Amino acid sequence: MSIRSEQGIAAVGTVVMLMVVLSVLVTALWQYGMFQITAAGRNQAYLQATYLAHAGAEAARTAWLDKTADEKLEGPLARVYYSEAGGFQLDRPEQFLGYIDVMIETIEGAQAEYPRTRIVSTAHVSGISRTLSLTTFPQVYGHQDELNLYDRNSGRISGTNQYIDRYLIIEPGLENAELHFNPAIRSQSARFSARAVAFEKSIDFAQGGTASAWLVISGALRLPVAKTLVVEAEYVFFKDITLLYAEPSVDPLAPPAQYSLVLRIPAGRGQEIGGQRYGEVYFDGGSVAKKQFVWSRGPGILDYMLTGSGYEPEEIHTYEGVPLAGNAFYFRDGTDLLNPGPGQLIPIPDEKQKRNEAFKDLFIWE
Amino acid sequence: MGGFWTDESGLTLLEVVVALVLISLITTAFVPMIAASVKFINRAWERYQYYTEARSQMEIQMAKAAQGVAVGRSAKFPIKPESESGPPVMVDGVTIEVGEEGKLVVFIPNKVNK
Repeated sequence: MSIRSEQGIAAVGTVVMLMVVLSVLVTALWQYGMFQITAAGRNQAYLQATYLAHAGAEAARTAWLDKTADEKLEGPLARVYYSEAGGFQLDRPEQFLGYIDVMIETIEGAQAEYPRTRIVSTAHVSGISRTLSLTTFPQVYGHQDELNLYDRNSGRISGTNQYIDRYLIIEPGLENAELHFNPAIRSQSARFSARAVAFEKSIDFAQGGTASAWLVISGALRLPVAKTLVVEAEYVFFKDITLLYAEPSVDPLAPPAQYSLVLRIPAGRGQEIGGQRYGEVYFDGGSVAKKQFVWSRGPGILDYMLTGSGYEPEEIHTYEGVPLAGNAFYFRDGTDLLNPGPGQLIPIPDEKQKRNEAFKDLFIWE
Repeated sequence: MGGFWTDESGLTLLEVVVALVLISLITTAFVPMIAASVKFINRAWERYQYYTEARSQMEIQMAKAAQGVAVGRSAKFPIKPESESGPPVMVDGVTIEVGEEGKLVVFIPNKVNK
């Protein structure tokens, strides 16, 4: 059949063919347009969900960091909705952009001593979900073999470490294993050195009043009994602290004794205040005290025993009279908590406390 | 019946008219679809551009917030374990919103926190 055929149906047939071809093309174009507009809508929801998930993870991280070790958040958090009128809220509003579900979980590593914390934040917008995760680096504990700063079971201080640019956790493992010195050694000094050091258990150098030292003959030489834990860090977090001291006055031959904590700042770190370098220390416990011990005669003629006096612990204050417990301070390099000197501890106003700075590199995005 | 190129017989006026009418009808029917498709494609492209720009604006705002520059508006983000019934912990921070239609929203906790 030719296009020039006098049979008119030929022209109609050609038109019908054109119509089919045109239909296919236009349908394809229509489908493409619809696909593009749908994809753009999904892209919009995906981006909105991404930033909402980011919001959930950031807020959960802040809340997690602001809690002390015993109160750390774990498990699923309540769903949070976002609406333009009400902002972020727990109650479901009538109209909302999307909602966020956050889960905080502990991941046990290959070795049980190296747990990580993971914050998984999932946001939902218009049927599109987006999940973001924040995970801690494996946390560094002072009792780990490579540091071996103390015995995890007994809490006995055993070593010193070179500075590590990490967040170091001091956590004796057993219930009553407060950090303490070896009673068999007359004088001992140890240094824990890291960017930030967090004591997740109390320090009790008096060991509940049972700490003791026994000097044979050497007591007569009046060499002081000095045990010092140096914490060298930009940021230090403590719970309860009990230090120990003994005056020689009870016996002219007995030496002085001090079981103390000294705060140092790593070289090149800290902030300058009045030409001096300062770090930040947070006393999060309910007590920062010192307990007086006394020397008593041992079984030998020149033996002396250092024992709990029965005196109540005395709360420690700054030189200027501010109690340490429950407060935060800028500390000057070399501050001895047993006897803080003038200007060594400067209270940090609430609005300037920067706990999160200590942990800024603790979490990584996944 | 001659070949396609050699057949000298033409089309009748009626055939031509019918063909033209059909073509007009088809074209008329398809024009709105084509126009709508082109409109969709253009709109999708505009939205891609819009969100690419919004995203880069958001990243700039977030970078500023990370450096302590005041951006966004003050906001609180409630955090409460699902298993607890007490009031939530309110995390202080700022909400950054970017865009007009289909806003991008993020929450940045305050850098300074107790």
